[in-house]
Amino acid sequence: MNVAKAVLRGAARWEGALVVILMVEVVVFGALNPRFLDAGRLISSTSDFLYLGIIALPLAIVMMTGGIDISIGSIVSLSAIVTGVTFANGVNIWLAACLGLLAALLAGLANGLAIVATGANPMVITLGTQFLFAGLAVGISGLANVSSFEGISGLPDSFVAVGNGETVGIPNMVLIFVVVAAIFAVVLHGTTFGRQARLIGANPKAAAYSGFAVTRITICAYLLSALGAGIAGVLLTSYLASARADIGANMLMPVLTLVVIGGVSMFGGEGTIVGVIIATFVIGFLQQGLRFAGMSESEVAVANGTALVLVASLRWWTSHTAETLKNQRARRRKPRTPITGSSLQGPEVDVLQSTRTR
Amino acid sequence: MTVPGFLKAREVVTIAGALIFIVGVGVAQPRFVEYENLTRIANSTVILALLAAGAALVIITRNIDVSVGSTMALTGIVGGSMLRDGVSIAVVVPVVILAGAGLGAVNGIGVTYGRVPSIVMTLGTLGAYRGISFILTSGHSVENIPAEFKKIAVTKLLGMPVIVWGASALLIGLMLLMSRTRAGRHLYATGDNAAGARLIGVRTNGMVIIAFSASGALAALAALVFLAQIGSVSNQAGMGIEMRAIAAAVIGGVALSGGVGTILGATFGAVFITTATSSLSFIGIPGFWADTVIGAILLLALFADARVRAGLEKRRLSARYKRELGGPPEPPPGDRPAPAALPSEKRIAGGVA
Amino acid sequence: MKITSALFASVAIAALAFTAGCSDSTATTDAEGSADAADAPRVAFIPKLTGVGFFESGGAGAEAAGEKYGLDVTYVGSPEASVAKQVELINTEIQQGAEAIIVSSVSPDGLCQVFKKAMAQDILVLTWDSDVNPECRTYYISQGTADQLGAMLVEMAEVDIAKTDKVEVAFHYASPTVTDQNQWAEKAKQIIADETSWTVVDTVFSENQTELAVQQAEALINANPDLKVIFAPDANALPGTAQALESLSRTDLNVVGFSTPNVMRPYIESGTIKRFGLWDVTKQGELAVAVTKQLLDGKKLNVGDSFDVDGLGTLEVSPNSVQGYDYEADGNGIILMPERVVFTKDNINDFDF
Repeated sequence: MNVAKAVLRGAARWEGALVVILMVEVVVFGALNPRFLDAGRLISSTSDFLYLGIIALPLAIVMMTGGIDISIGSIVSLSAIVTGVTFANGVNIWLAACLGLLAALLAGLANGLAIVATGANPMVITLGTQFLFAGLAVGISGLANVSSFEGISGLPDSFVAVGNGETVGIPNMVLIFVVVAAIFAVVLHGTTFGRQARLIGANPKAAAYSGFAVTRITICAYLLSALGAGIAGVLLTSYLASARADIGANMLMPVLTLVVIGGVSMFGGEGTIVGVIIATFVIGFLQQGLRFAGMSESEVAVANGTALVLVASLRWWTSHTAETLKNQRARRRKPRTPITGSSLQGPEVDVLQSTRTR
Repeated sequence: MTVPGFLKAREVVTIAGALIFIVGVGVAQPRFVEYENLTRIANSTVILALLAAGAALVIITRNIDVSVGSTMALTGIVGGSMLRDGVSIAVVVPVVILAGAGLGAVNGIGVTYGRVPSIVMTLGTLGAYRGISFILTSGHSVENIPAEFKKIAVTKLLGMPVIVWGASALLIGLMLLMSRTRAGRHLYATGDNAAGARLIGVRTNGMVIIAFSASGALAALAALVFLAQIGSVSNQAGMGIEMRAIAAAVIGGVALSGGVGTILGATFGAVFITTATSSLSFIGIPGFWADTVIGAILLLALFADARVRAGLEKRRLSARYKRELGGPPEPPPGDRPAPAALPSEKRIAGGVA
Repeated sequence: MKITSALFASVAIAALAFTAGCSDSTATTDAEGSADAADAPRVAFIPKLTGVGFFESGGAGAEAAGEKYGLDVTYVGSPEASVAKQVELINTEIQQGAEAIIVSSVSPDGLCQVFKKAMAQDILVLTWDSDVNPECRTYYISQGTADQLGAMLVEMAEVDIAKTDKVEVAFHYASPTVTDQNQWAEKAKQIIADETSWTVVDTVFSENQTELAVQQAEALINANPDLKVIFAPDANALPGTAQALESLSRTDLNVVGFSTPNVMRPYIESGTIKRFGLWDVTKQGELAVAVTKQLLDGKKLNVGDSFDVDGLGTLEVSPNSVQGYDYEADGNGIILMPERVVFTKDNINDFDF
């Protein structure tokens, strides 16, 4: 029930705006190119971007704790290549996929432990492991020497069908995304872990003093984000029917875009899984729509980058303006009462937010 | 131990690490430490060192700039096209540097007045700037840079390319600016404690914009070096180099929590990375391990730093106990100092204060 | 909160409408640009990545041929050489109603699923430059077999270095994950092992990054002072290696490889490099579109059939076995470019791509 409530509450806010944008997108792009509107097409085309959402969801949890995981792309590569190399060495493909996930979890554990042990900024730790894991992925494929340069292929049909097939007319990718999204939504909004993770992000000191197992929660968050990346690595291996060491390269920017547009604050504490889910579709369809409208890839890149920056900026300014308006109204409503409280609140909030922006 | 001592210790670790590494490889492969090879490494460090210095400036203000690879490509393409079309070097160089500063200023303005978190802002421009350079060139590389410009890269002074001398002079100048001037101190103050800095009259927004513009201008300079050394520039130029630049700054002791670090450290971080990757051929390790090596060095640097900081914190605390209790130094309870349980931010700030 | 959403939504809608407005106008100009584009069959011509002279020239050839044959050829690609991105692009093309798709594949297996999907919808699938497994496409427009190109590398080196000389040689190309380059290098290494007294001392990779190409080549040359030949079968590694020779002022090294004439012209003119090879990639794009046209018009091509292409003469469909595949089927095979070119001082000015 808690989950349902949280979902509803979220929908009334930022998520509502995202839904509006999504609908506008469909209408505008549909008007520009009717092919865009084909229902079957809309659904089947989601396979091309849903894996980004699978990575973005748990990354959102990490970012809510006030951390960040730059190494996700490398973990995608690592899990893909471990799956491929173990399979090429005669391991059953399903077991190999589990080993790929295990490799991802180990990577996540390494991230979490390193962050907790050094107390260094998560961004630098995962920057280091980004190089490390990407290097390991290429290294493992180099060492295994199983036609590494071509990627590892010959995967069984049953495994390939996971990413490509359909169940009752719905692409498996969509079903998997729904399941994963539901799990992460419950984890974040319906469990003690989720609430504590958010509090760590919102107010680390308060969390530490109220006796949360900060260390354990932090490590768990990075394990989850690595798990998401691992699932995406295995899924992509299935979707492309080939395991490659460079599959996760350049994935950071699109994934972070989803998280940020989804309304997760870079400074922790804020955001919902629902927002990220909707953002996955907003961005996915935006890029497709721009292509359908005849834009080249580089024009799409410019539009995407600009949209990211504008949305992030608009988000701050709209909430800031709303806050100011609210304060003004409050002041007008109670002209007689001592105004110290409400008049101070405006500038105070301002200072707090702007110091956090730095 | 006083703060300056502590700051110095961070660079000393990096510099010592880089030197030990060079000597180590030199023992295994004497050819590695021949003057000619060392000048070559210096020469190929220039681009990364310039970018790392820019990264350091931005990180010191407690921001991050991941757009420099694209800024470098875009300014390189603009400069390359102008050179190719016969515009004189005296015009091209300032125009390109100004263009870089302008692109950086866009980031700075977005971060300050647009209120966009720096990683989001610069990720956006990372994509957008590269897109623009594709559109400008319709995807083609810029080739046939005049020989007169490329000659700069092969001109040598005392056996060392002039570019290396020039870059060294520039970086030393930046170091002096950072340590000796009010502007430099304001930059540190902005990153260390923005609210506090504003209260004592630092224009923090201005400092952040200056830092981003400087990072953009340094990326443009790197683009000019690129043009001279490589003789052509493609739209792929500088892809992924931003992460190396940030890694170099971090290896050199620049803390992402802001307010800590020096240009000297960042420069040696870049030297360390270039040395390590180019030593692979000499010690017979396949080239595809290069990323692993960079990652390992970075993590080692962070762990070493954490140890040093924990040690310093312990010493600081016991000094305080001594002062307050007037008795013999007492180690803090537990084998870990108490603040370790606190969030990382607190501890880093504590180490600086 | 309502105000937030309302404010935001209105601004977002305005922004989106604006973007859509822009794209709408470009779309119309496109349509006006090429007459009958609406009726002409849509053909997608996809490179491994954009922003590289080689692929851009291929794309230009394909688009020119499209106008000639009345096909609506669009050159679309991603700036990153990534399989997932290629799959996404191909899916978008399928959904936009493309009748034929011609791809230079990043991966031999990674595109098979999407190609099978396309073929199930009666879309014609061809590859050019870099192939996929033969059962996943109809024809491969090949620049030459691995045997031909591997041997071509060795032959270009043989002009100056006798097979019986005991010399050290090395390889330098993009990365161990690039299929075709690896095949050529493996073949060349095999010929070197079987037929010459040369020893391969190292293979280095430069990941499609120009500056890395120069640095890797410099490191390679300094690490191996007795090196006599560097094979650089990569459009980025070859100019990088040439630039390294110029920076190090070395004239005693032979560098051969594959790249485009416009990039290499300065090095050929300065004499740093004596010869390098390639095929006419503009013609390769033309050929791919010409074959597509004939197939769309209902022509059947089987192994052994020959056909005429305006400007390229008579060509024959070769079996997949020339590329070392076991799979053969009707309507499936390889179409080899009739010739490859060795560029020298004497002929380089005849080419512009």
